[in-house]
Amino acid sequence: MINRRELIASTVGLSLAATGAAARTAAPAEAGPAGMATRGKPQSVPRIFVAERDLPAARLAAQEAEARGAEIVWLDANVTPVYTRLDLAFRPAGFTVAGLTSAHHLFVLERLGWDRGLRTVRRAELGTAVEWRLEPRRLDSKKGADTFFEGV
Amino acid sequence: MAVLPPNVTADSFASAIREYEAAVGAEWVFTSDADLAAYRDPYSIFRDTERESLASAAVAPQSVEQVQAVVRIANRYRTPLFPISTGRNFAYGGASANLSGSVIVDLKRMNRVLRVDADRNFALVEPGVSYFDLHRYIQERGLKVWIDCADVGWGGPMGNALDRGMGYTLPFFREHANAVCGVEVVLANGEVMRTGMGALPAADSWQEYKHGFGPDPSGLFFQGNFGIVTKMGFRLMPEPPHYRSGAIRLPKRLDLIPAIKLVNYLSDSGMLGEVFYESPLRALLGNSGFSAAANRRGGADPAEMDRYAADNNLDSWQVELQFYGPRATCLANWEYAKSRFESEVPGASFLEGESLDIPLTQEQLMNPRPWFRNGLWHREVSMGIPSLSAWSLVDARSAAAPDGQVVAHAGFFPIIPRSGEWVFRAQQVFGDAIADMGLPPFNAALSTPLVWAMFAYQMVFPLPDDNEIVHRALLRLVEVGAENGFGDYRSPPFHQDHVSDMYSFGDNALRRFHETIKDAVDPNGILAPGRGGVWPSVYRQFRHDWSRDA
Repeated sequence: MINRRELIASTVGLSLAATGAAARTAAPAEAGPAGMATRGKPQSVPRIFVAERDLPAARLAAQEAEARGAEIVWLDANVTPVYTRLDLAFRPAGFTVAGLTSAHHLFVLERLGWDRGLRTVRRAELGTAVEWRLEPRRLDSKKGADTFFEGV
Repeated sequence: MAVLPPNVTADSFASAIREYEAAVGAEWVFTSDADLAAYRDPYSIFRDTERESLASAAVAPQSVEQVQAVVRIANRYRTPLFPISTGRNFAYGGASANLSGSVIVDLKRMNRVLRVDADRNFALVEPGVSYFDLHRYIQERGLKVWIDCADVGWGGPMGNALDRGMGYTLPFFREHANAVCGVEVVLANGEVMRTGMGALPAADSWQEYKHGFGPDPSGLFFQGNFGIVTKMGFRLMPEPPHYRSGAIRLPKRLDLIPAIKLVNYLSDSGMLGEVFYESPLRALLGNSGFSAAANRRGGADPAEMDRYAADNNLDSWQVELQFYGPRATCLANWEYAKSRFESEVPGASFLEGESLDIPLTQEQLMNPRPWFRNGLWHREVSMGIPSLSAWSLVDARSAAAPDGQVVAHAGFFPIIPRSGEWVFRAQQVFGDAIADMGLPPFNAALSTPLVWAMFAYQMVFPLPDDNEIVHRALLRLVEVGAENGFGDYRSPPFHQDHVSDMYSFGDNALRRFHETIKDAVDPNGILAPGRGGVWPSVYRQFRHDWSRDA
């Protein structure tokens, strides 16, 4: 069984390949088939890590993510500022974003990510919270957009 | 999970997909489960059951010409289409179609704000523009106009208006379908049509005079399936210089009757924004005796309710008023409202609210009066500011099932005439219906009217967290409501046929008229079959008869 630290580490981009650990992940219910997602490969550090300030585990994860070079975006009770920030940030091109938040906040950010060509590649329980990771949709042979939008 | 459109073979569908890819680009045609997950209704009563509506594919055009191409391909291969704008119509089906196997036409890439005129107070937008987008566009340019937002800002003005959504500022703007002025539509035959003054090629008044000349078919595209709307104009509210709020408290239960008459007068005279009704007696719901009184079959006894109010030194009702306009006008209208209530409702008392110049500072925005209904959520939308703060009120997802179906989220908002007598009647009708179904009481006597529509009230009824119960209860409430003249104004796809059945005057003459038109303008029935209860003849066998489930 993976421990909390390993779980967080996997979210923020530390390779766990050597541990063979398998987090208690809900099959990314809405994540892509094997050919589209990036699971099983070393993962790069997410450009942004969303941490819900009220969650102790999120604060811990944020420290690790920041040390790895991710930009930390704090989520307070209202998800609106994070949503609008990511909405604009994703417009030029989608990029990897991870986080540790309440489930209903993930629901909101995940919908935004889907619109911007991202797909859920990781989703796992961590107490009352969810740690997650969204990555650009893999198009395989289809070249082109990695974001739904081409600019407003 | 992959599904095919009805009556379409796998080979034929594969050919259609290739043509869609050629039309819009292969990267904008989605067929995998992962990609199509975005088009499932996360709140469907039928989630993960055989009755859930699933997309066969999704295609995302970026231009009107590509929409035309998609429609023509759909005609060739008989693949039903279901257009969406932002796809956030949660509680009303999200992005899911009435007919399972439909190809979703995702219009999010058509996301340009085409025009905002702050001198003539209108906007023209494409389908994928969200409330956030339009608000940002206006703010970045310093334009002095407001948008009227739905509860949750990730939706868009076009999609919300097309489903007749509502908002929170002045009446003319908050009933969104009424604020629409001019639409452009791709018809089922692939032609592009503009309504109103948009039909006059040289006109610059498309967003100012919606009727043009001759019959105006604009209404057919609202909750309808007669075309794919690709542009829509909206009237915008000029930014008011000042905002004022105040609340009126009424001691007795029957005071609601004169109060509603007065509010109707003030609102219809253009003095008021959204009005919030509330009952301070909710503080007594922990008292079992009071709870029984508030849920009494046949309706609450006014004398009994008044005794509880008097014994606990509480008022029966609170009516929150909002004023927009010049500072002096806001004050004068508030003083006038107080004087009318003072003289016509004995015992009325008044709470001074806020008097704020616009734009509000961030601190002012985030700190509404403590008694202000629902706090920040209503504050933001009352100021024309899109937000997601309402989302936490409706979403009950758990860590254990962050994206699984937790509970249904399905809107049921019957239209109720604007009088206190009708409000009490609705409380009794729906309260008794809930009791008849053996469901937990919802304190019917404290249910207050929702003042979204310009000239009608609505009410909200919480139901248990059980999809099958919700399904049957909603069906029954739709029927009970209709028997008493309270028609649902909007519905998720899975119940639209049932709601449509209730609008039965003249042996469903209205629906037969719609379907006659449908068969004439969309003979292959490719556009959103079933939407609004309107089924083309080729798919009419898919109409649901839910009467046995109710």
